[in-house]
Amino acid sequence: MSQVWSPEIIERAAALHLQARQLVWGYRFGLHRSPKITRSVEFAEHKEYSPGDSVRDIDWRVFARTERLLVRRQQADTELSVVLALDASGDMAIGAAELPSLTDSRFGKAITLAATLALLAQRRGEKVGLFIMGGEGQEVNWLRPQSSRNQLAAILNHLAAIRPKNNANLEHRFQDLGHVLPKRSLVFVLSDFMEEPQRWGPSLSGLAAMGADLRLVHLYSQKEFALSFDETAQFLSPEESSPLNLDSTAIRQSFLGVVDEYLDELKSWSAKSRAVYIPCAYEETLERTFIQMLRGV
Amino acid sequence: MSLGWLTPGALFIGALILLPILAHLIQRNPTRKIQFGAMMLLRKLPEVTKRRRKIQDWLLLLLRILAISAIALVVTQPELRWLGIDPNLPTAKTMVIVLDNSLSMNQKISNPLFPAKNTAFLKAKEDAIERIQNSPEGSKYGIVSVGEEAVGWTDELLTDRSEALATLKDIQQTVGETDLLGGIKLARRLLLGEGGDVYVYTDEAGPNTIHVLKDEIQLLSDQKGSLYPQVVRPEEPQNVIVLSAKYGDGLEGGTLRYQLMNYGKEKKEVLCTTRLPDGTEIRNFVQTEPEGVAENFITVPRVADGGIGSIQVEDSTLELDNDFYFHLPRVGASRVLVVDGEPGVTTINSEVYFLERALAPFGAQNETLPDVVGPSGIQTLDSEVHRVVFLANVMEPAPIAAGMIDFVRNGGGLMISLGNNVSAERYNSSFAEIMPAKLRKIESLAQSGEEGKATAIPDLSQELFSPFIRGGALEFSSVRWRKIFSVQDVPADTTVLLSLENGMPLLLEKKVGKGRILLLLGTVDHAWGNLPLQAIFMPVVQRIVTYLGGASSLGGMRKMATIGELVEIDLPEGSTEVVLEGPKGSVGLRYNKGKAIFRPKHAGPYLLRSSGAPPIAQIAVNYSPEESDIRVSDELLAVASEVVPDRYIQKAALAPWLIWVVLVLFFLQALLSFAKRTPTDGENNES
Repeated sequence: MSQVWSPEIIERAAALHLQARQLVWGYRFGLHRSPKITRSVEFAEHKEYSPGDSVRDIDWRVFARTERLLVRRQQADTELSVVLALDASGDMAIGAAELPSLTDSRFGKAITLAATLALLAQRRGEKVGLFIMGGEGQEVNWLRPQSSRNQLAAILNHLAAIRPKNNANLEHRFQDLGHVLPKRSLVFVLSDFMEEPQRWGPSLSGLAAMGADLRLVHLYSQKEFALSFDETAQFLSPEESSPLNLDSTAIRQSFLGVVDEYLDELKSWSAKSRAVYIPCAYEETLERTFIQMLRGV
Repeated sequence: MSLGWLTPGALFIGALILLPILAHLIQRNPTRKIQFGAMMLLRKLPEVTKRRRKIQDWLLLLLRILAISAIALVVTQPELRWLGIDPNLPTAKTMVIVLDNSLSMNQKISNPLFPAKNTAFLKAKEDAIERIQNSPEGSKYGIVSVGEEAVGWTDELLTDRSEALATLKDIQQTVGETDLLGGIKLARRLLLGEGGDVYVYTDEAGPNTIHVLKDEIQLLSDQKGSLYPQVVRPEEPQNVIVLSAKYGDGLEGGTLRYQLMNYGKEKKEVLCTTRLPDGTEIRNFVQTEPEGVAENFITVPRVADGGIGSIQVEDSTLELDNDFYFHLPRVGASRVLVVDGEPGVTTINSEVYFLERALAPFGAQNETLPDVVGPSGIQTLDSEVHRVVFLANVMEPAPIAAGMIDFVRNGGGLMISLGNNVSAERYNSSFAEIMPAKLRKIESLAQSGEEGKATAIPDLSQELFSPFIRGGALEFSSVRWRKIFSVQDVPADTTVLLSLENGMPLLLEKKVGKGRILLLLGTVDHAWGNLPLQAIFMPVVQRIVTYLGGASSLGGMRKMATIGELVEIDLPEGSTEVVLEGPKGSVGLRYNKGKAIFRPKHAGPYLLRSSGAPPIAQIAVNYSPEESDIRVSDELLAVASEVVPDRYIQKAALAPWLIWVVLVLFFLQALLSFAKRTPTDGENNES
């Protein structure tokens, strides 16, 4: 029996589904209306206005010239797919057990966000796919975007089954994604981006060049970035074999400088790729991040 | 200064320094561990943070190693040892002053208090006088000097201080070698085995001066005597001397080559003035490397008298040995008078033609152009101008015989070549006194059309043929003779320089008075052989002229010697009233088994002569290079310490100091450990 369909995973997937529904419900409750995730400004065709169409979609310039009521149809409305690119490297589950908690780990928050987006997309009848970078336990790393109900279950089960491990190797994974990505996709990258931006940045730009609409969700720990630890300690990571014995107090100031440089670089590559950069601190709640992800601002 | 251990076996404790090293290698990491997702950013931190922590660790490790090493050292009871004499030793009331007044003590030293006393000898004498003046009442004194040879200036110990001072002041600088061994032996004998202090004032210079003293120092110590080295020398000894000089005569002659030795540790350029026996001075500068030999040469004028010349090195650091004396043979363009007995009608029959070509192939510019006369022109012979006479096939020798004999006796060179004009009877009778051998008759060696008999390759150890050592000797066998004169028995005082392959003598030599005669039993032209047409003709003729005319103008035996060396000279039979004149006047001689013996005390030219006879010998006496070598090979104190270590090696125990060092190291270690206290809480990040 596949691990993805083990009772433990199914139970975990159910919990993930529940959390996603709560998040979607809160979002809809606040906005009264859930717009399509895949908003696009790219023109596809005109059609005759019919009752029920949004008045905001009427092309008033055409009306001024021809006195005909025509409605603008965007290309994405019909073709755009949602792809969830999830970083499952070892660092994403810092301090967690094999299957990180959905609420108390960085990776848990990442898959919760992914599940929520998948649920919302499925409800809107949009195609949604999953691309997993690193990790182990999942049957496949790539679920092609589909709009069926089964696709949601598959995504949830895969998300529930992933054990964060190894390096994500973003540079190559972004290249791999470029090979399978449908044209005109909306790609959510959920990662700690803890690899050299100079290496993966060009690959990300390659995705953008293919027409992907990129949203980078940066999952990080405020405590780590502020180095809020006292005195000497041994710093270690699942992705690195050699720990570092460091005096936090002594190195804090220079570390903050390094973090600033790193974030600047991250944002720089994000801008070069016409991506939306969405910081997501581990210590904060997910609602705000989710709204930013949907709005793309 | 060196380090010693009373219990060196305890050094194995030093192996314990491995303990802190091991402890540092296996030391535990901080107990607090943090799972950290941004390790990539941590590794970008400047290495300074990491390094500082490392340095702290290394400091701790160093302190621990030092502490354990110090403990190990304490157990081994180390002590510092250095050469020296305990200043608290009681001084004896009997002292012997051994004063080095050898040549090397003439070294210039800095003496600010008494600028006039600016040599090591004067300073040493001054110090010795001061020591006697400051000696306690009732002291006894002995005075010994060691220049040239050890001299005891007192037969027994003196009780009168003023007498001892006066004796010491009488000692003068010498130019001889150091006899320190003899000096200490004399000092020991003066002490009569009753003990006392021997103060040795020396510069310790020379390669063989000090290390030979071991046994004598042991004897002195056994007889309760104490040796007190009092070293006097400049901080940076310097000295440049001429080691050797040789005139290169022969075909390549004309240069005087000499070697300079720089015994100092600095590069030095010195002015060298070469004085030839005739008074000619030639100056040039020579660059010498530190402790290296430099070679220089000068070109001797084409005409120069033989005798003893000198090279003076301008070196103010040790002036006494600046002069070097060398022998110079009479050199240069020997003027040759050719007496042509039969001017040939063709060049091939003319000895003069060939001789002129051989002696001056390019005219008279740089070579010897002979004066040519007939037998009647012999009166033009001038002994001041002509040094070599060639008699070429002279028919009637009687009219010129007496003049020739006088010429040879006074140092001239005579070469006789024969020919069809020569009559054996006339030559044997006219030149009876000087002929190397009596002529017999002309021998025909080949039939018409035959090449003739070949010449044998000469013995190259003969001075005349020495230039052919480097090549060309084989060419002699190309010289063939169809006729030569045979001779009667060859007398014992005649040397056969050259012969035919069949053993017939060809060239004979005899010394007469100050000169010599060469007799060629063939012709110099083409009449009897092919000599003038062979390649060796020109070098042989030039060599003969140099050989005959190159003897010293004074003649006699030439010897080289150094000061203090025993010189023995064989005296000719019947020598009477032999006198030796040295640079400082007449020198006394001893005689033993027909030899005159003397020991020179000064450098310079010495001439041994018998009244009314030519000089017997010339001796060029120089300073001993060993004495000029002012470098210190061994130190007297070091040699003495090998013999009597207890007296000459000072010691200081280090253990008490090391205990303090251990305590300080432990204290520092404790301070550092306290400052580096490690956290103990085990809080994990994100877990």
